[in-house]
Amino acid sequence: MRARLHALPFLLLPLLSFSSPANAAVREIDQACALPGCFPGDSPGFPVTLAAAGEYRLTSNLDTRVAAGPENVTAIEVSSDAGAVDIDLNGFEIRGPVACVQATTSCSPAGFGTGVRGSTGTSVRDGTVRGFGANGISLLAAGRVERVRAWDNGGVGIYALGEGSVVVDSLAFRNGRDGIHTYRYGVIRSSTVAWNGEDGVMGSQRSTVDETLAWANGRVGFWADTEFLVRLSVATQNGNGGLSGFAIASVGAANGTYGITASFADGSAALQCVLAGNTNAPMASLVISLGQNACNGGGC
Amino acid sequence: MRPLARLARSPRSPIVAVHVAIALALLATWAPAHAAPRDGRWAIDAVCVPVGCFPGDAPGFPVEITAPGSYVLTSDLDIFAEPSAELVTAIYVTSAAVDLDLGGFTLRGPVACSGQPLACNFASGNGVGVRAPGGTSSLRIHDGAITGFGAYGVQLAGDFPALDRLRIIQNRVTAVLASGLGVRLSEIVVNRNGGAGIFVSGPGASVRDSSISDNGGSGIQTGAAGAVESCLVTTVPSSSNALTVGFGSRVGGSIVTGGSSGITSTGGSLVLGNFSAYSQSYQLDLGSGSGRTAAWLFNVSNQFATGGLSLGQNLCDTSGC
Repeated sequence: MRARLHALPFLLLPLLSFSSPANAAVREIDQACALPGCFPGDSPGFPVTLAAAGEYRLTSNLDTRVAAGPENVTAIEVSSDAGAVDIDLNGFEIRGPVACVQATTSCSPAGFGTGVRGSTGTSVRDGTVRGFGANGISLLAAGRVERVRAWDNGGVGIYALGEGSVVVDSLAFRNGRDGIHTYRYGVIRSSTVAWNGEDGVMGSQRSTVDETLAWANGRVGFWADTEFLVRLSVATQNGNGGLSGFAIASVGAANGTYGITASFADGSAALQCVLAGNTNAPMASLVISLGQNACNGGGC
Repeated sequence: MRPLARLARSPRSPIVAVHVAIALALLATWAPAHAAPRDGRWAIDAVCVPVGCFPGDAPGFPVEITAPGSYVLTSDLDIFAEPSAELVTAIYVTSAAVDLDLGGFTLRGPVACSGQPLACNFASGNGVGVRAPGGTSSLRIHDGAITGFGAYGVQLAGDFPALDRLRIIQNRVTAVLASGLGVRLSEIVVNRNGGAGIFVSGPGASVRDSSISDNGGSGIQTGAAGAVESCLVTTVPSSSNALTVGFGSRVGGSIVTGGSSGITSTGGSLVLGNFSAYSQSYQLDLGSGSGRTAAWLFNVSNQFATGGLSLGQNLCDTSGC
């Protein structure tokens, strides 16, 4: 019996040699580890490559301006076969060298670097992505962006191209192209898009926008190609129209051209909207009024 | 230092003189040893302030944060003992991309405000709890309290700051004064500050899930394209509006009481699902002219607004409006 007890610690040794699940669950990323490589699968230097599914957390700012040709450098890249990856920016900033001029496509230096390039099941949250040559965040498959501020990126602030991607509580400001761009079945909620060079939100094919503000973007506040729903949102002082798609209980005021403009495939419709003070007219000619709208103080 | 220097020059004690000379040389090269960052975060506490907490921070107040990174309070910081404490700023940030975690602690100045009408115990002062001039973009301040400063609780001029989970109480002027783009505040408690509660003049600000009550001036004021969601705003003085948003803004799901007017906008805004009551003049003052506001689905206890446009389903006193 005593011999068995003496052997017990040795029997337990293999168990002790592994990290606890809690420690293993979150992998940390910081500026210091980016240069030698932060974990297996991440080669030295930028981008920090996330090759395995799981949770990742920034523990410092990441600044790609230390790299050669930083306008072409991507900060974080999720491997295409990584699986679901959660990136917690933890309040920190991912920073490139680019600055843009408000409500124009003028950004410099030009480049093709991206802040975070995601894959299937990537989520990015709680931080800032600023100053990249191309997009701030690019999700090429379904993903989620939450509480992110994307600004001064040469391309789109948040480019959520995967079907069914979700962008919530985020802000896209002064990016060279669209503020937020979603593709099929995208959801945008409680966000603000302003001073972007092209559209505030570009929503393709059955995307929805809820409770979002689009202000002073270069082109349309909320622009759609087909079947786009805008609800409880406000589009003001955009260069080439406020709302588009099917707009419900929203405001399109003081925009260039129309309060609601026709989306280029399906036309547009407005219900319970206020459309006032736009340079051309409250509604473009192909827009259908579903009633209870107010146009420059009168019904329409 | 002077007696030691005289001793070192004394011809009567050459051995002592050598020792003293060595000691003086060592003293001349001495500099305060800053603690190293822990887990990548620089600590700030009352002990390190007199000597400087990290490189770039000169001894004494304010604690100066001059480099990007993560900083955390590990004790309260009181400025009571400072001469003219109402003029003292606790933390001064000059770098972009700083995360300042108050760690549940308090930045505390000498000001107290009480009574009705609200009165503070200092007539002047320019001290600030956390101050950051222009160029300090992406500053985040969170999880703690800022109380009793000579002017502002937080004064920010950089773009895209974020304030989360703060209690900002009894500062002599304004609790939060911010002028940059895209200011974001969430879960903020603002109470009994001598002036306005939250004043954010830049476009694209948002204030969410916050309580602003019993300040000496207006409750919340935003610039263009501001969003105020799920807030409680209670304003006492009849000379200030409780909640004012700029053009193209959105106010939703909030309870607003008191003030000259309750919810006001210069136009082009959407005001949805709020309760606004007990203001001196209008519960809703929603702008007029070409960019009229949608006022929809809210409840108003006594009189309705000037300007704006009701899209129906509003309740004014006991009837629809």
